[in-house]
Amino acid sequence: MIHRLAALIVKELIQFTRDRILLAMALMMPIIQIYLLGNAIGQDIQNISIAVIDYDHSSLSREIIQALDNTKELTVDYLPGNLAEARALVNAGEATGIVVIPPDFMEDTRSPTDVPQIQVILDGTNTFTAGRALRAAQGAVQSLVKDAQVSTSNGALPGIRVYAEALFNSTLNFQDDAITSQLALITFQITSIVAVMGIVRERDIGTIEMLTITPLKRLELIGGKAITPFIIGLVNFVLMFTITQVVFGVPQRGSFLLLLGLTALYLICEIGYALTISTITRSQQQAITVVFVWAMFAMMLSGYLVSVATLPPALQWISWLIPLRHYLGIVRGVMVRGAGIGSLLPEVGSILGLTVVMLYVAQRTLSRVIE
Amino acid sequence: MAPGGHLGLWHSLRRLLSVIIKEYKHIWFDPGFLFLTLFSPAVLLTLLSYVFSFDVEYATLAVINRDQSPQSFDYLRALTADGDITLTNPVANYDEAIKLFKAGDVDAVLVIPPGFGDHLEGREEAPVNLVVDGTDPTTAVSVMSSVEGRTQAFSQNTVGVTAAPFEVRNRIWFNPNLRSQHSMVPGLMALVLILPSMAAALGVTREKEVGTYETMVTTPIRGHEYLIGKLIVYLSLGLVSTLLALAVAVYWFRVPFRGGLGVYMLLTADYLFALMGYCLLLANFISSQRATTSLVLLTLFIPSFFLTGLTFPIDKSSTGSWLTAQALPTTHFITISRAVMLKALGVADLLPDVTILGVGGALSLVVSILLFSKKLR
Repeated sequence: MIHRLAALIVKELIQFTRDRILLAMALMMPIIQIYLLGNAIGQDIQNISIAVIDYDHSSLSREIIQALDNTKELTVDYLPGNLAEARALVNAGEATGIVVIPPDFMEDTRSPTDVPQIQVILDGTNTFTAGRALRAAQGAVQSLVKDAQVSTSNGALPGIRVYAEALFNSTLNFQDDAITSQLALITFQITSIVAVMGIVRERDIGTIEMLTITPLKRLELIGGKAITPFIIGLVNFVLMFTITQVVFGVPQRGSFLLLLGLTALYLICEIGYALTISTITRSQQQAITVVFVWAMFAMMLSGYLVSVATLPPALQWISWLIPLRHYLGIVRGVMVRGAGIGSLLPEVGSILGLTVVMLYVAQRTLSRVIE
Repeated sequence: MAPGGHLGLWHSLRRLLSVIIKEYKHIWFDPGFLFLTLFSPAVLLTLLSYVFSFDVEYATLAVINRDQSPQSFDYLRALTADGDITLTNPVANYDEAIKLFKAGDVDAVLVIPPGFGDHLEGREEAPVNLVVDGTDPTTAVSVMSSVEGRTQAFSQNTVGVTAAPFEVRNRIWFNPNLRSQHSMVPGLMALVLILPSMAAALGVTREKEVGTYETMVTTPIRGHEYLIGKLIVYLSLGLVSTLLALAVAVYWFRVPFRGGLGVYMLLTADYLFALMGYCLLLANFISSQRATTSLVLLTLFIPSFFLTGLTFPIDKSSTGSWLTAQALPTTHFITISRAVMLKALGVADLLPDVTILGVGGALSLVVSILLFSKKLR
């Protein structure tokens, strides 16, 4: 058995390394990607361009412009004379927001009856940017209002004040979260792409008949087909993990060996899914399409973008079937929270269960293909 | 060279036509491939639009109420009045709350310290403490805003507003309620159209893999006829798939379509031209279908989620990420798609993006024809 398996593994590795471009890509792209994405998401949203229309030209209006510009999120890049000019800037995508300070603004603030208004207008076509810019602009102006109020009412303002605190990630920076998710996702993708071609490719080219006349057992065939994606996945994981540590300084609070071991387990599980897809599809394009849709489902339901807890209950149940969900829990748990095997038992148990089931399914469907 | 100008052109067109007919038939009789070229954008758009709905609508709070005053209960009622925030059973201490928190049962823990009611009554500052889970910053930020917003409203109702010297009013253009789907769906159009473009590359590498490519070489078909034929077929199918995806966007997700459909389709053709030019260029260098998919996925699809301004804005201060963004065709079409659908802009307003796409597509097509002709000889 070992002999037959070894022969198949050698064949697989030779075949894979012969496709130079695929090999280079499978090893280089994930690294380049995690590097690029880490850089792109790394910085918090900052320096959003806004335009201020200052009809007042008073010391107060200048103070407001200064306060807006001083926020980390906003930069006052334009001072257009009227709304039409500002609108053109927004249409061209040069400015994301407009702040309008009305004429006689400073005078009106002194009058006991009038409460003059500053208008903040935002381009809602990108809700991420718009939401951040809105919070920042409101915050900057509000704190000026508060200063004025405190100076008149001498002392703290009455009313409830919320002091918020974020556990595990006190600055609420997106980087650690985004990069650890990305690490899990790219590992998932590269492994699935390589694995899903395993059986269907032989079928497409017609070599599956030749394999069936060899003395290979079904389980051996699956084992041999799993080895290339397994190596690719694990090597990529180690390379990308190194980058998260060396380049981005993502914390690694738990044990690396534990993470590596669980990653290996996860890869076997994910390869089981991919090989099942590979046996039930008829052509490589079909396999690609199915794996694409599968990846989308995984992204949607695994908590990669939106936490599982916010999904409707039915979808939360379905998400249990998605190994990436459990694996994300493991990666974030070990790296960010420093979790040990004890607190990860639900995730590890789920992956183990899914692995056994999927390998069985893959083996059964394969037998139908071969006969 | 073909003898006789007119006759040569006529023969060339006939050969081109035969490539086109052959390719249409090929796609038509392969259900998987037909799905990839025609229906996959609409399906993917549906899936992705659900993935990228960031509006966190519901939040679960665990409350540690150390005050137990009537005011504190009023406050909690006000928080939960509209049903978006729900409370778990009251929790006695911090440890118990943290346990719920770690199990993912609650999104945040609210601590109301003793003396809360008295402070509020005495018109002093009444602090409360809100603890959120920082491992999921997106949810954390939105839970913080929804608690803060409701708190401010309740607070102003009970203690009244101190006369403010001025106020802020906000307006959001193009997407008044900041619905994330209205912003994401037009952007995602750019991503899903990568699939029919990948099909164009697969159309070439498939022939190489299956072996019909050699047969093609022995026919009188020239390299440029072969490539242009493929381009025409996949571009036309890509446009049909765009219409299907648009139907999903407008009728299923109810995204407003404020611009002209003609303008949109014209600019989509421009985008598909750039994408397919790039994909056909790729196909020159590779000979297997799995290499094609991986390359398209890794160089176009995945980077487009993060480097193009789809979610996070492009960081203009870093030259590297700015250049990457400019080089990705998706960046330009995300801008175009949002501008036409939401802002009702026309071609004239979008000239820089339109030009980059057109020039990029033309360049890659010319380069692939040059490379291709060499190989055929």
